[in-house]
Amino acid sequence: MSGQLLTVDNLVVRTEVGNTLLRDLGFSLSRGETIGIVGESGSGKSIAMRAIMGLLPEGLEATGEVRLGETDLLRPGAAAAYRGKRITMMFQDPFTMLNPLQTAGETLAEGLSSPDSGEIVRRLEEVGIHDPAVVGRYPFELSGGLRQRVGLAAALAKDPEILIADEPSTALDVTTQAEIVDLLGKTGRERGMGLVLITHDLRLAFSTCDRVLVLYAGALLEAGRTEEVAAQPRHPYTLGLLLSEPPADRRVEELYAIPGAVPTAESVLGGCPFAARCEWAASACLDTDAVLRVADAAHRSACLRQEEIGAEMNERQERRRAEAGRGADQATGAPLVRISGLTKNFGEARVLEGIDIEIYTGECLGLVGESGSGKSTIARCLVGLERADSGKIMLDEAAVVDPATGSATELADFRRAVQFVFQDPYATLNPRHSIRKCFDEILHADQRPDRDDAEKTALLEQVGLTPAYLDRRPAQLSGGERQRIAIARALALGPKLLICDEAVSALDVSVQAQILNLLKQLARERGLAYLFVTHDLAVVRQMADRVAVLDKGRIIETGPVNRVMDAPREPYTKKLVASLPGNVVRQTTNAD
Amino acid sequence: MQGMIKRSLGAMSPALWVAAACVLVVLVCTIGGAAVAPGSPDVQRLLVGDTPPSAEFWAGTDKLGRDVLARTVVGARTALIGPTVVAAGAFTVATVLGLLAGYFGGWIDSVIMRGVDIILALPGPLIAIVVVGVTGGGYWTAVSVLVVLFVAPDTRIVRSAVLVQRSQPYIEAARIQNIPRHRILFVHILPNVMPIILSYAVLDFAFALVNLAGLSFLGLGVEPGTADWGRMLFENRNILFTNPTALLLPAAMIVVTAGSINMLGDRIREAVAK
Repeated sequence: MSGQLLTVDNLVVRTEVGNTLLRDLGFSLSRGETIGIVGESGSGKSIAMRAIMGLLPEGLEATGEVRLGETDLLRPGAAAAYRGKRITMMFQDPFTMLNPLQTAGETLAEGLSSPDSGEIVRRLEEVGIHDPAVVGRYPFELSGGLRQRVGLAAALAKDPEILIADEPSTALDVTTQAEIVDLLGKTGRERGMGLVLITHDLRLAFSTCDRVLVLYAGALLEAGRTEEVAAQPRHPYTLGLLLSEPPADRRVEELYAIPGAVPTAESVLGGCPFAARCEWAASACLDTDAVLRVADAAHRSACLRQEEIGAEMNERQERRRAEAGRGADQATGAPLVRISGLTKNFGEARVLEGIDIEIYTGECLGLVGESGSGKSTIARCLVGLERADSGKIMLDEAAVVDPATGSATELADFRRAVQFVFQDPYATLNPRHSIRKCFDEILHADQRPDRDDAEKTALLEQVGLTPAYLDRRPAQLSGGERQRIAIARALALGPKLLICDEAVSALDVSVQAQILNLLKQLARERGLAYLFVTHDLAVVRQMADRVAVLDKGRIIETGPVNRVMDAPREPYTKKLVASLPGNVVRQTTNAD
Repeated sequence: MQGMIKRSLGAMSPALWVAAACVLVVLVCTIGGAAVAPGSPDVQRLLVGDTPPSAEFWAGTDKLGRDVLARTVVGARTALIGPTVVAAGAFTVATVLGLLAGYFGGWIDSVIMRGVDIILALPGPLIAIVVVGVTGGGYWTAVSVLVVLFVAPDTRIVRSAVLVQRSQPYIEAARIQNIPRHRILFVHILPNVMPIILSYAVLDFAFALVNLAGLSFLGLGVEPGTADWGRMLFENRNILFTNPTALLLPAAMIVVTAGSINMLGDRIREAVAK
């Protein structure tokens, strides 16, 4: 077909020693089309695109066929000849993809064939930058969203036929994410360019792409036109992804979670990679290579049993849609923790301006705001990781701690009641210590030496892990398992308040729901209160009873979660709520 | 750990194997000393004088008729022991200072790092020459001076490695869990900065080897008469044309040993950084 810009056939990526990272990927891309490649970590989505661009890291090799028009891109040197010209790529991190020593204008001029100032301004306008002053600005003078736009303009400088965007909005604040994704879609359509959007977020792909491909553990599991995949997923994994995404418009009793964790591609070769986590898996699923070879038909799934279980999967989705929202709990009684007048400066910059927050026993307070709003600083001041400049923290209406001048002992006592869960599951545990050693140390520091493993085992059981985990090291654990250990560790001192600083943001969607359910269960069982710091409003809707919205170091709105999210009062809160992916985004952009 | 060693050995290039073999040979000479030398390093044959390499003396003899090969073999001892002491000594002190400065910050950091700045502001080799010269010299004085000079840059390295670890969530988690400070320092931070310390210590070793040889060449290192590579360069510089081996062999040993150890150090750092 002459309309096909890019055809990929039997694309396989292996390591030098023969471990498969990607098995048998095939798809095509035509002019003006946008396809979404969706997958969690380890799905092979980024590796596949790097293989196409000829940018595979050393030690990986690609075989198969990648055709750009008449050219085979896998031939040595071929990709390098077209890279950046006919086919180009845009990266995730707007903070590192621009040369810090070049102005936006210089960055653009490098790629343009006639780099006069008029052309540069025109190019910036194409990506929605209407302020000509941006031309002379350095990356550090630009916001994340503007950097990403400059990055896009630079990628488009040579008028490529194909643009591959690897998680282009993930590192941005929620309000900018939607803008960038919309801009990408619009630019693709206007230029008649082929656009490949790589993302972990199924909803995001649904909101912009004509077709989606769902990858899992190196295999293509489902592909089809967006409307069809969204309305009727035909692979249990796709269904699971859709269901485990926390709904942003209502609160549900319990989130759907896919059990287990994503396997490596190599470990599931020869069978359906999802079989071990699939409730419908039959014995045939384990030993029949269920790889989808042609992704161009309107809608195809690699599931062996798709005909048998189709009706059941549909029903599952219907039930989820019909599921009623549930009101949030209302906290009563005296506050557990009362923060008043918390102020913090970093040098000249004022980060927190007189924060007043109350957290009640057993309640979950969501603290939302964008990067730089100061939400993490509040959390860190509470446990003494940062010293506040002034303020008071009262626990149980009795013990008062001054976060600015409190002594080490005062803070240490306070921390027995207030514990912390960090964001990055890969850095939260000492890589050299077994889980047993990690628990032993805390118990020992708390003068509760534990010779038999009763207490440690109990800690593990609380977070849904077996005692066998005591002798493992962090490197042997998945992201979700590490986060469970981090929660167990935080519970060891018997806290009344657990601060979760973006505790689920770094996890895969299918694992995120497991951890959220675990946190909810712990709240029910132990009457634990949470301060849930996050940028993700859908997560807040599921977890929080009340929300405090933070903007530039001030709390601008507080209230019950349903009230704040359904009827926000402040303009900033309205903007935050409007930026949620899915339907809401489409409405706001259409209105523009 | 074993896996890591296996993996790094598996990926060793031929050049690295040669480097490892050289280090092994020097190590054998250091341990064996006169026992592995082909003859006595100290017997003088004044009537023979300097002779080029022959069947009896493979590397010839020096002006006093001493066996150059035997002296080179025995010279490995001062070539390895001093630098080992310098590397180990400098990094022991630097580890303590770097941990304190990096973890506690504040005035402790200021005091330590200003001290470090002062040492770094001094012209190192010149200070070594002056101090060793004024105090009358000697191998161990030279070693001690090098320890002090090397502590300064090493402290900076340890401190920056500690700073990186200190802001890691697992260290912050330990602080929140009320783990005592000394445990955070020695059980959490130290083992995680140890690989960096070890790889830089190897580099220190190579620098110290060259520096000590230089001081010996200037007559400020070992006692006259000791078999030492730097000293041999000094003593044999006048017989360059009658027996060039007497000069070139110890010179080559200095270059090869320092180079080999540097290469191995680089490889260790790469393996650790993975």
